[in-house]
Amino acid sequence: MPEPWFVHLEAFAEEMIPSDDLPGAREAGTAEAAANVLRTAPGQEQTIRGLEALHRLGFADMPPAQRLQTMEQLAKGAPPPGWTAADPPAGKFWQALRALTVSLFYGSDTSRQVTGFPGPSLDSGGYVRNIVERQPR
Amino acid sequence: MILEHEPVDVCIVGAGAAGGLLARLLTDAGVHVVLIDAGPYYSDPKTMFHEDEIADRRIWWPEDMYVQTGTAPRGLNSGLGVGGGTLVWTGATFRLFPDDFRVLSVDGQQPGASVADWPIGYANLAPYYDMVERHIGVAGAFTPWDQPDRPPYPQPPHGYYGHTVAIRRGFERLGLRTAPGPTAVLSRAKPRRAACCGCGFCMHGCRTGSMYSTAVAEVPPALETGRLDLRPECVGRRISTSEDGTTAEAVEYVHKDGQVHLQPARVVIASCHTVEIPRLLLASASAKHPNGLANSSDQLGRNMMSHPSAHAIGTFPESVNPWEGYALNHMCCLDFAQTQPGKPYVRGFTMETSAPLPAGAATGSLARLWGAELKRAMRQYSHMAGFFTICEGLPMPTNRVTIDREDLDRFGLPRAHLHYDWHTNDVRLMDAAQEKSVEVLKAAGATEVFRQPSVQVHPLGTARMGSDPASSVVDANGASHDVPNLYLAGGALFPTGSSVNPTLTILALAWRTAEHVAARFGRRILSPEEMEQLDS
Repeated sequence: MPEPWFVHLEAFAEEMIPSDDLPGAREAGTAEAAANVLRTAPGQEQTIRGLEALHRLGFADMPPAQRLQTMEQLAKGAPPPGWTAADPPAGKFWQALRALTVSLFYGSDTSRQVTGFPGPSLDSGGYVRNIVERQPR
Repeated sequence: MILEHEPVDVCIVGAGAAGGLLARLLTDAGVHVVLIDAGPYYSDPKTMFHEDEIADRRIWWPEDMYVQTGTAPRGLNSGLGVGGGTLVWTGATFRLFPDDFRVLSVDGQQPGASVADWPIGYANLAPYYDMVERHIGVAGAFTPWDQPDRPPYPQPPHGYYGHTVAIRRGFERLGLRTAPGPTAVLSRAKPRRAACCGCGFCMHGCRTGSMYSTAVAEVPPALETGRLDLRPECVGRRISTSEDGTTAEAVEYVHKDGQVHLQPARVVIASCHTVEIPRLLLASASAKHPNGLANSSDQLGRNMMSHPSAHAIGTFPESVNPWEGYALNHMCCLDFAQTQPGKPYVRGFTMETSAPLPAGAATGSLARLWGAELKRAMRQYSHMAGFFTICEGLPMPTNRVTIDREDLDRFGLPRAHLHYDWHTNDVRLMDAAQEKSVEVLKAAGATEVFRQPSVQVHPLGTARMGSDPASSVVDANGASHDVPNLYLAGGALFPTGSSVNPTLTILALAWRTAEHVAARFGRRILSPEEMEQLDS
């Protein structure tokens, strides 16, 4: 049974890396991966408390415009309506959860459809053959 | 129940750049060494690392171990494992400029800062730079900023990938000079280390050993001497002294299984990072050292500085494949690395081209973006090229590592508290560096430019070296003024930080310290040539 904050983490990740003609957080399973980090890695208490604040605000169930507005405020480091002094600083929460979800998505195999990154290469010789100027001036 | 071991010649706490090199040099010289490190030993990087930006972040030193206050962001910038920072660094290996050793004399004291001249100069360190460069295999070509009497770089430069050529256009159009950045990423193979294949995963554990790491280049040959006892996953908790407080006698440490050990040693070396060194020594306070071990000057933990830095990236019309090559410093520009007359700041900044991997780009240069805007930018990832600007941060006495004796970690060690404010000069330098970054990228033809919010890298200075015991923690050899058989090593010793990456200087200082320690045992450190003969 996932924690009550999980649906809000899912909603946050899908706002952060939306799906369009190319995969986003939903297709990459970013929220599940982020939840795994939050459950197992040390020092995640502030981020979990921030997600609990989003749960209290009903973030996942907000109309799209309100959810977007909440994201915009967090991105500016401004507490959205309902955020209290007992919650972690909005800016720090945003930075931590942005970094977690963004790195998990753009570090994933799925994201290569977006970035064009060909992935690990050492076992096929790396990219040293692509040097364009052997004697740099 | 404490498990007490047989005494050893030297016990080193921390197997990073300095500690790993010290262990190699001392064991090759015939000295018996115990080397403890908080992290695991990745003895076979080819199979133990995976070219995975996420999974291999396990080797990054956790940023959340400490409480930090002040205006500067976090940035411990080290690795967790035998090899320390050399597991996750970028290989950039610059020498300091001669003026970097005498900033107080050249630029004067800045309000609120604690700038000091080094107790040694460039000429003192140059022979050690020569030896370290040869030993670790620095690739490069003479740059416009090199001292004219320096020897040729021991390895040829790597050549430029497309992203570097794209950025060079900008420097050239602005009349700025560039050169291949000196790097400890091999362009030619050495024993135990392959030439770089350009896979780009330097900061996630180099699988080939191309990028110098003490875990690959120093620890295995040191183990082969039979004189190194490596103890990974052990955290130093306290250094004890003789009753009169004048001699370090043993290191108390905790293994991850909870067992507490005591390792007596004739010489103790703490080389466990700019934050961990003061943490360990402050936690070693005693009746004879009530203010912390080696802290009669009250300078231990103070004068912390870093390199305030930022990554900037541009989108180019052509595909430039930023993942190709090694992580940083294919090409550099040091035209702004030193104090320039007429500027509203002293000191300077260094510009080094970079090859960020996707998650690194999305969380670095593109950190201000999110949602559809971020995704739009990342669709252009293969067209992105950028560079890192590294500014010389000033030391301040109030930038300080302290410990909270009421807040113990799971090893029973008081947690470190960092207070770190950026100096006004740091902020001005960063503004100038970022403006120059944008100017260069636009001149290179970038259609869009993204700037990372400023970060700090390379924490330095918390156990500064100096000639006066009243104002410094260690002498020019790294020996504690208060406890002469206690040595410190690493970036913590820097009185000022330069604008270039610190690792080559950390290694050169460690080599000097190794000579001094070996002499205590009537031993001599081998030359790089002698070590190469042993290796072959």
